[in-house]
Amino acid sequence: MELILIYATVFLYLLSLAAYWLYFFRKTPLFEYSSLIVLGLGGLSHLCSLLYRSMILNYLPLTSSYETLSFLSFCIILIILLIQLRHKITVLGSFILPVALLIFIVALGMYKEIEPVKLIFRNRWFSVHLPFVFLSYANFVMSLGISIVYLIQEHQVKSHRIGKVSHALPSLAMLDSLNYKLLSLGLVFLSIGIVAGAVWEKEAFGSYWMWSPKEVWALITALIYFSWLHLRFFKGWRGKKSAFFSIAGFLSMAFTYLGVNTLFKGFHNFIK
Amino acid sequence: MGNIWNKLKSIKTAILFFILISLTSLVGTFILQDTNSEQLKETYGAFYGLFNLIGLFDLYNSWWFIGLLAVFCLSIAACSLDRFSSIYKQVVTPPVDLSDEYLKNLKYYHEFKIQPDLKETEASVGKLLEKGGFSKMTGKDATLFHKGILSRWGVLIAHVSVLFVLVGALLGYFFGFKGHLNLKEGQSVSIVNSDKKNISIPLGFDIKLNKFQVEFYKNNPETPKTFLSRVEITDGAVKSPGTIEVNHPINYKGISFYQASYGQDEESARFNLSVQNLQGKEIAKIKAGLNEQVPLPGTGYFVKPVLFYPDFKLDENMKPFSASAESNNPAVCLKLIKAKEKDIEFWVFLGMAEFHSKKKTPFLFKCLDYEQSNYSVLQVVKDPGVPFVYTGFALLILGLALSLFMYYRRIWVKVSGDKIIIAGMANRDPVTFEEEFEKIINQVKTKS
Amino acid sequence: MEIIIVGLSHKNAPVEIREKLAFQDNELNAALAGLKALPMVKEAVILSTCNRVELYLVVKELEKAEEAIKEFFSGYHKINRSFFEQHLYTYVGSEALRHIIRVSASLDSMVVGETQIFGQVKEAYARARQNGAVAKIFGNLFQKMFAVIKRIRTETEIGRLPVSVSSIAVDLAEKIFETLEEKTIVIVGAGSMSELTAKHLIKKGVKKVFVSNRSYENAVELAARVGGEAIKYESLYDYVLKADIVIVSTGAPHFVILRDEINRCMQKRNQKPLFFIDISVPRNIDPKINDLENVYLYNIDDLESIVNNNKDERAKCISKAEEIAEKGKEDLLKYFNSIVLKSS
Repeated sequence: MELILIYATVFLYLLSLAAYWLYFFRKTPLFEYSSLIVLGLGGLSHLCSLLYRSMILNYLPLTSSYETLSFLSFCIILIILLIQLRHKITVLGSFILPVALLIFIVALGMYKEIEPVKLIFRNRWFSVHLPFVFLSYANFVMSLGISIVYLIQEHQVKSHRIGKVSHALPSLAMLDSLNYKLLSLGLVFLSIGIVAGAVWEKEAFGSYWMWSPKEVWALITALIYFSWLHLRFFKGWRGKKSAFFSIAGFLSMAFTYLGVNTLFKGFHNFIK
Repeated sequence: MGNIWNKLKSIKTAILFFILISLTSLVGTFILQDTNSEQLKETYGAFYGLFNLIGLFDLYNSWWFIGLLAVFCLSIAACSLDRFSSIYKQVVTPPVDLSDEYLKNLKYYHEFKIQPDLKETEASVGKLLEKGGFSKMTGKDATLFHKGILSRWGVLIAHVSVLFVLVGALLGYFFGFKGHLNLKEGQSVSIVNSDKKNISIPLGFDIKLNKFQVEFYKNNPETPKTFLSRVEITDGAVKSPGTIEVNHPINYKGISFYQASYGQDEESARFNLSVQNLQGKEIAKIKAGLNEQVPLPGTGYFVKPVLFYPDFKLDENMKPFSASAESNNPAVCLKLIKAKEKDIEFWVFLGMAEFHSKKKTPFLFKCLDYEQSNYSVLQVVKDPGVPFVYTGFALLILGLALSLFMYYRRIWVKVSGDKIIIAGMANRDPVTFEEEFEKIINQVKTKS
Repeated sequence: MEIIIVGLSHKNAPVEIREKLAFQDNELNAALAGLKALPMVKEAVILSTCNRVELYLVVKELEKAEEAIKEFFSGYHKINRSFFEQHLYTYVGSEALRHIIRVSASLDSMVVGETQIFGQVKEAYARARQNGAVAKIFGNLFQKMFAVIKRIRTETEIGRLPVSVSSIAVDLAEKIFETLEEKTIVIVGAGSMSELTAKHLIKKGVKKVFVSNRSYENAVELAARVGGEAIKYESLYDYVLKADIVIVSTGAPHFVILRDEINRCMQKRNQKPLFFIDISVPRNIDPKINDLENVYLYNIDDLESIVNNNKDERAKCISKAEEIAEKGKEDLLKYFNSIVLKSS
C-alpha cells in the first residue's frame, strides 16, 4: 500500500517536472496548469503515504531519516504550490521541484520498514518540535532556491544582459519579497521548533539546553537568521545581501540537520 | 557613559554578540567537554593545564562564557529600553498635529474638496476608520488613526523574551544543580552528587526506589516500550509515593527527578547451576549469588561465583574482561573450595553449556540461567530559572509572530481650509496598506 | 460563396492615400450598413487603422463583387477611382485567409510583432458583429483565427520582446520593481526622449512624477504635460532620495548625477533599489554608480543594444510564426470549404 503511493508520488512528480521544464522553454497555459495540477496530485499522494505511516506508527511520521526527508520534500512541494497559486510564478517550479525530488529520492534510498517509536519521543513537545523544525527547513531550502535565482537575475540586470534568461525569471522585487516572507516565516517556525525541543529536553532529561553539537548548530543557524533580520530592518540589507544570508543560513541548517549526526558520532544518541 | 550606552544598543554590538556566541559555542563542539577525562591530558600535553585553567574543557560553564552572556543581557536590556522609548514616542504619544506640508510628503496622500460640510465628512471618515479597527487620537486640528500597534510592542516583547531566557539561565547556573542517582530496588538516599561541581548536595528528604519496571515491545525485544520507577519520598513524618516515567518527571520541593536510564545491577546476579558428575549425571541443582559460598551437598565441596562478565571477551594478553554491560556472552567464574585442598577457579559460559574448562574439576558445571535486578538511573535537577526561561520562550514566539506578521500604520485626517487631507504611512507591507488606503478613499468618495 | 479582401496598407500606399480611404470611428456603422446593402455582400468586417484600411467580405459572384467594392470606396469617400485604384490589393480564398492571419499576427505590420494590431482586428470584428454584418461564416472563422493568433503569441517570442527604447525602459523597470504602481519617478532635463519614456512609465501606473530642469519654466511646462510636479534643480537629490526611477536627459556636457551623492542617498533610503536611465549624449550620470548595490544604470547605448537584440530575436521568430500561420490557414480553409459544401 505504502509502496504504491510512493511510486505514484515519484511518477507524478517526474511528470510535473517535465511540464515545468517544457513551460520554461515554451510558455503555454497547457504546461502552466498541467504542471500545477499534476504536482498537486503528486503532493496528495505523498501526503497519503505520510498519513498511512503515521496511522500505523500512531505517531508523527518523523522517526527515521526516510520519514523526515520525505516530510521535508513534501513541505517544499507544498510551498511551491502555494507560491504558484498565490503569486502566479510558475518558473520557480523548474528550479526547486528538482531539489524537492532529489530530497525525496535520497529519502527513498534510506527507506526503512516501520519501526516502533522510541519511548523518549513519545512526548507532546517533541511532536511539536519535529514538524516545526522541518517546516522551517522547507522554508529555508525554498529561500535558498529563490536566492540563487535572485543572484542570477540580479547579475543579468546589473550587467545589462537582458534576454531570454532575464525574461524567464521573475522580477527582483518579487524574488526579494518572497525571500523575505520565506525567511521570516522560517525563522518563526525554527524558533517554535527550538523552543519546543528545549521544553521536551527538559521533560526528558532535566535540562532545557545541554550544549550538544546539534543544539549549538541550531543556535548558530538561528543566530544567522536573526542577524539577517536585524540587518535587513536597520541597515537595509535586502537583495543580494539577503540572498547571501539565505545561502549561509542554509549551509548552517544543512550541517545542523545532516552534518552533526555524522561528524559528532554518538552524541545525539539520546537514549540507548 | 552615554557613549557606552549607545554602543551597547547598536546593531553592530548585537551582531558582534551573535558572532561571539556562535564562535565560542562552536569551539565547545570540537573539544571534549569533560574536565575529568584522562584522554584530554594526553591529547593536549603541556597545554592541558592552561586550557583547563581558561575553562576550555567546561566551556559553557566557564566564567568568561557566563560573563559573555551577562554582557549580552545588558546589551539586550539597553536595546529594550531604547525600543520602549521609541515606541512610547511613536505609538503611545504619537504626533497628531502635523503641518499640511509634512502630510503632503507622505507616500499615501489624498485631499478632498467637499462642500459644504467638511466637519461632517471628517466625522464619517473617522467612523469608517474606527470600523476598520483603527484606534483614534484627537489633536488640536487633526486626528490620527492607527492600527497594528501590537506589532511595535512585538519587537519589544521579543527582546525582553531573550532577557527572560538569559536571566533564567544565569539563575539556574548560580542557584541550581544537576546530578545522577543510581538507585537499586529498596535503596534510599538523601544526598546527590553534583555532575559538574563534584560536591555532595543534601536533598533535604529521602527518596527510596520501591520498584523498577521495564516492558519491551513484543515484536522488537530490543526497544523498551516503557520503563518507570516507583519511588517513595520521605520528608520528616510525611511520606509521599510517586512514579517517575520517561517524559514524566516528578517534582518535590523544587527538585525534579527524571527517569534517565536504567542498568543491570551485576552485584545482584544469582546463578542457577546444574552440577553433574563426570559421567554426565546430574547430582545437584544449586542457586548461588555473586560471592555467596554454597555447599555441594554430600561432597564436602563449596561453590562460590566470584566474577561475572555479561559480555565475556579475552584481551590481547588472554586476560578475560567484559566488553560491555550488555548480556552478549555472559560468563561466570566459579571457585570450587574444599578444606585443605587448593581452590580451583574456572569459567562457565551460559551460551555454551557443553563447553567445559580444561582445568580438572571433580564435577561438571552448567549455568542454566541467572537473575539480575535492575537499577534505575534518575537525573536530579534543581533549576530555579526554569519559570523565567519558559516565560521567555512563550514571549519569544509571541513577540516574533506579532512583529513579523502584523504591521503598524497611521492615517491622519485633517481639515485644512476648504479641504480634507487624508494621509498615511506604514511601517511595512506597502502593498496591503495601499489597498487598505485606497479602499478608504473610495468609500469616502462614494459616501459624499 | 467566396472570401475576399480589398484594401491598402503602408506597404504600397502612401499616407496621403491611406488617410483619404480611412474610416473614422464614427463612420464605421454607416460604412458597414453601406456594405451590407450591396447585393453580393453577405458578411463584412472593416479594419481601419493608421497603417491600413481593409475590407473583409464574404461575397457571391466574385468578379462583380470586386467591382462593387471599388465603387463603394470611391462612392463613400467621394473620390475618383483612378486616385487609389493602383494602390489597392485584392486577396481571394486561401490567400485571403492567410492575409487575415498574417495581419492579425502582426507579421504584415510596419514593426513586426507589435501587439496593437490584434486588438484592432478584434475591435473591428466586434463592431461588425454589433451591426449585424457578421453571420455564420465570419463568426466562426474569426473565432478560429483568434485561437491561431494566441498560439503564435504563446509559442513564439513574437510580440513579447519590446523594440523601442521607452518600452525597454518599462520592461527593465518591471524586471526590477515587479510593478510600477505606487512608484515615484524623477525626470531631469526636459528633453523629448525623457518625456516619451516618462509617459510610457506613467501609463503603467507610476504614482508621482517630479520634473527638474536647469530652467524652472521648462520644468513647469513638462510637469504640466505629464501630470507631474516641477521641482527646483538645486534640491534634485532630495527628490532622488524618494524616487524609484530617475530619467536623465540634459544637454549638459558633464555628469549631473554623481556617485558619492548617490552612495549617501542609498544609505539614507535604506538601500531601496534605484533605477537610473541616462538617455543623454554626452552621458549625464557617472557610470560608476552602477557599481553601487541595488543601483541599476542603463545609458542610451545599453538600451539601444537591447533594442537591436530584441529585433534580431523577433526576426528569428518570424519563420516559426509564419509556419503556424500557414497551418492555421489550412485549417480555416478546410472549415470554410465544408461550410460552403453544406450550404450549396
